[in-house]
Amino acid sequence: MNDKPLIVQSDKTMLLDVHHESAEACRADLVRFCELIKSPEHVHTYALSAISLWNAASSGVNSEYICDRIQFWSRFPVSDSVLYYINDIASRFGKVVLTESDDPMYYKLEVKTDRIRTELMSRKNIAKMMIVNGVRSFLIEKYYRGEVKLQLIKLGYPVDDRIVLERGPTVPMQFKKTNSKGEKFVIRPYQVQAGQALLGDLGPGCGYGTIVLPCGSGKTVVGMNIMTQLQTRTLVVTTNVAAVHQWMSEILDKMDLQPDQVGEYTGERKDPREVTVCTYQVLTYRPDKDGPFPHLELLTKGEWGLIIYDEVHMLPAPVFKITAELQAVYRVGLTATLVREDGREDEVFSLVGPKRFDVPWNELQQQGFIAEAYCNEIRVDLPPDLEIPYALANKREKYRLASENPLKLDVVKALVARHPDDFILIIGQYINQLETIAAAFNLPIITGSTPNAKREELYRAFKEGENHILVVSKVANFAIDLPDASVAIQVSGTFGSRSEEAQRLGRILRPKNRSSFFYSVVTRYSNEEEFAANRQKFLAEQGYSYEIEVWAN
Amino acid sequence: MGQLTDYAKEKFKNLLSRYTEDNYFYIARNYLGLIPTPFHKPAITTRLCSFFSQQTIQERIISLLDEMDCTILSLVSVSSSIDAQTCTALLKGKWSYGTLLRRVSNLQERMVLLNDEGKLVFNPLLEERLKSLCSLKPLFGTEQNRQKSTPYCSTEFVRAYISLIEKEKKVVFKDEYALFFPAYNLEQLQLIFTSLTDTLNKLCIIYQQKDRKTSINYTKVHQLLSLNDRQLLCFLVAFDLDERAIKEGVQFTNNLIAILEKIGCCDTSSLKLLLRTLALKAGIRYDSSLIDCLSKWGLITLDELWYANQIEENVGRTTLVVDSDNTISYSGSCCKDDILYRFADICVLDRQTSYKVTPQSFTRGLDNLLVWEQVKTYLEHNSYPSMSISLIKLLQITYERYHQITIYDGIVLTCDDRTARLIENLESIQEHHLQTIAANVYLMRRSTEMLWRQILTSSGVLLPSTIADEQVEVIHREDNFIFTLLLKESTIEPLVVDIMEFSDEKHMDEDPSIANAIEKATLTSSQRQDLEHRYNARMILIEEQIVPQVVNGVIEAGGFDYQGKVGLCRQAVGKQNIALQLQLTDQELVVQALEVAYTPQKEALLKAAVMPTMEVKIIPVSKIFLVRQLRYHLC
Repeated sequence: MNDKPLIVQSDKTMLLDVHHESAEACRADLVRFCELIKSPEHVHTYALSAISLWNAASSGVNSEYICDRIQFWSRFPVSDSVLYYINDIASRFGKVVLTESDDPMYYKLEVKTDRIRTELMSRKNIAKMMIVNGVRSFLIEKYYRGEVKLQLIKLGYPVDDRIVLERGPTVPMQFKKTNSKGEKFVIRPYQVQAGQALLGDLGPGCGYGTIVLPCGSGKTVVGMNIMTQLQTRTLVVTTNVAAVHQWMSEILDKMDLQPDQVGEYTGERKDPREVTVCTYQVLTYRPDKDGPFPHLELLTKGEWGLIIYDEVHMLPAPVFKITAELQAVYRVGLTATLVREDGREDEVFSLVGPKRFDVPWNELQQQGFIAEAYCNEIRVDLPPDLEIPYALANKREKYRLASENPLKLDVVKALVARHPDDFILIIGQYINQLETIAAAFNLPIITGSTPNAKREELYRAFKEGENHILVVSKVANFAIDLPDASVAIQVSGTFGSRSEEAQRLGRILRPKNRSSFFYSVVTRYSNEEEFAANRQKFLAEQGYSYEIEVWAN
Repeated sequence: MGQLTDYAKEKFKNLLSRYTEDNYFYIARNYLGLIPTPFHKPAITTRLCSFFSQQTIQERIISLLDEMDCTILSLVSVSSSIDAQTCTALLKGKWSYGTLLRRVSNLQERMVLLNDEGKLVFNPLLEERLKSLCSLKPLFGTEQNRQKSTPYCSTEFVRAYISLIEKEKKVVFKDEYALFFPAYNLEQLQLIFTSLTDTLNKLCIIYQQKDRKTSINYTKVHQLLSLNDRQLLCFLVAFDLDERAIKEGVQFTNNLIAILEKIGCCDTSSLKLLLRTLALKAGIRYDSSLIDCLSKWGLITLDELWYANQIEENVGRTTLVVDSDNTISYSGSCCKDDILYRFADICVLDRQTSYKVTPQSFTRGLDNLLVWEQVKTYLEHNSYPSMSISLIKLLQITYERYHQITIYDGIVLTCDDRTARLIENLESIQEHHLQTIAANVYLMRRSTEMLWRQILTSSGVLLPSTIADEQVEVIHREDNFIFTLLLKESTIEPLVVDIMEFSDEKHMDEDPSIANAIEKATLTSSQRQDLEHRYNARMILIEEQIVPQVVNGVIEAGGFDYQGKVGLCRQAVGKQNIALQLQLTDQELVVQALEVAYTPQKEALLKAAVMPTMEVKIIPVSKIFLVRQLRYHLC
């Protein structure tokens, strides 16, 4: 044992003691070939995976270097099985190479050994996409580029894709020196690093991937920074119309693009321009259940040089499929919480691209780039008259009863009173409950049925201080930027959704001159407590601990 | 060379004086020359003692030792107590049986080894010098690789195992458990897991309840975990070996661990030799399943060679790191009183071990009689300041809730107001509610405890386990004897192996001056033959031993000397310390002569027990090419 910051586990995870004096230097090495799995307060967990090793290999980091770095930083001797894994997995990279072919309709796929050739040919789902072109050479239609890569990765053979991504039509764009309010605009160091990590030298293996940054840390700016690097036609896909408008407003505020260059493509307005912002909903809309998706062509036929998938963890299934076909385009996924309750994170990596940049939440908090937040779970009893109905209900009904516990209103009132000078969001799942709360305070409410214009108006009023409390349903979970909000009171949520909890916290993480407070109000002695515990997992892994308060009725 | 102690001299004399007259005078005449009659045996013994106490004599004896001698001496040293026959039998894979038998007896003739009630011991006058020539290798292989850090059944493993089965309430192994034990390969993990289950079941440390759920006797677990890793392995192996020889099993394992630690690795035959030797030393039976047993618990690992696994005995646990997701991690081994595994769920057992504390894991701990104050103090004292504040608060709330209800023997339930409202108003529970004894105190139906527990739990009530001691008492009565005894015996200190791992190769250093002196000496042919025989047997150390006498008589006959061969066979009949080395046309045998008989055609037949199996054979003397008498047992 020696005084080093890293412990390498047999399951290929690496535990970094963040309080060690060499932790930063060690982390700088690890991020080149590992993925950050969780980053609570004291010990951060990184993991080696096939994807991370191949990704490292594609950017020139070889297995000798990885083994050397791990052994250098490790507190204990590294087990042979870990070193073997690194050498074995990393050595697979480069065994299957994708290049341009003489025929512009096809790409050429070459394999290095007969064994791999035999294996590929024996897999029907892969063989059907390939035309034999030589002993160890195949032609594949350009259309199949993503699908072939996806299938080969699943087989354990990463494709060394040496085809440089296609540059789209040029659209000059730069950041302004000052924003529309005349304030000096400076891009933050980690935002620059994120862009560099994704684009690299713009050579083979660069230009696509996922960037994971905390809510409120300025992912939009990261996207815009990449736009300025590529200077090309750009499509931004985001979660809702309000987010579309926010993107457009941010682009016009901070970039030198003219209003006529930035268009909206939503259910309400279809105005594609050189930079277009659309929603996932419009892309996946179809008039009837079995019919085609009329707006998906925006993705495939828009001659985009760059596609930005905002909140990429929300990527819906039809877009997965199309994304597989868009392998020649520069693309970036942005998210704060790459956790999907359906477990399809890996597919996001395969199609949009691997995680290129990730930074622990508490690190940005310490540097002041996101607000310091205090999380509280407030437990309140059910009123006695609901105890028996609760006892007799099934699990789902129990959750609903507990979520809509009427005594939560008293808690909300007290919490609002506790923060008279803050901008407060009251967030919930159930409309009736939210309407009751809104009525009790005589407050405006935003739900899925609120017209977009009305929503915009209410957001504007909140931002400009006309209202300092806003009641919102899950429509405000993602991509809504309310910079001054510093208190969020969650009265109910979507069962155990970890990403929802994190995104809701994210609404109050914009840096400001005060701390932020996140309150999750749950019913004591109910299954809402269990769901709450699950919801908190992601944030707990990012270093947030919940203070529990039992509410005295 | 250090000064010889009186004790060593006395011991030497004592051992020698117990030799039979025949052997005694054989030795005395060889080393002291002619022994005139009348003689005074104590005086001769004193002379022999003086003779072997001389530095020049000792130097000479040592210089005549070779590699084979040193290997035999090493075996004697490791085994502590071994007879000539066993010594020969153990080493017979390395040399032929006859050669070995001859050499072991020769070491006795050379007074390197003496006989102590049938067992071979170092000559007390030479003991220190002989010990310095002993080594574990090449006796137990020649490989120089070191130990491996392969995981084994450690106290940390037992803690993780207990935490897991407490959570699962079942002991059936599942493949997904591999996630908790990433350092173990699946096959090894399954083997350790199931073996541990089997052992703990037999010792009633874990047991099945009526509802087939597994329960744990934490008093015993705590006692078991008072052992360190080495002691635990001694415990487990000893229990597997023979329940009737627990002490011996523990000593065997303790010995084995100490030697394995030193040799690092060896091939299969060397491992078997080591195990046979140590089994003999400890007085336990050796059989081929022993290797499986050691491999199962992780003392040794096969990777072309057998590697000893590094047993970490003194690696203390680091301070607990309590993270915001309520995982608690540390490296090293917990001390015997550690309680983390009792209120937390194992996440990973590896270099860094981590447990996760949840309200469920904590209440399980409380159900198993863990005290809240104990948990709180543990967290406060064993983690960095401020790390555990949130966790303690969470547990405090859980504890308060847990404490609101008490169930006595599955029949009397005392509770808070909220639960009381449920009991009084829930229709489905009325059939289980027999009577209200007082406010918030209810008499419940004992036979349906599981049902009313389910109803209350699904209504959001946190129910503690029933307070009852009956089961625990039953278990105490059942098996305390073996468990307690094994525990006591396993509390054993590590053994210090004072034998080197390797020593320099030892070659015999011949002194030609003795051979010259024999050649020049005036002797009859039988005297010369006898002297040369003893010289070749490295029994002539100094020229003063070259005197005209015949010590051995004829010991070899062959070829056409039929009568000579018959004569030697007849002389050996019934003598326990004489064996015959027979060269037949196609093989060599070492036998103990039982009888010489004749056919009607007057052909001599030797009835003999073939060593070491002692299978009786009848061999026509005419078929024997060469007969040689071996004095294989000097005592």
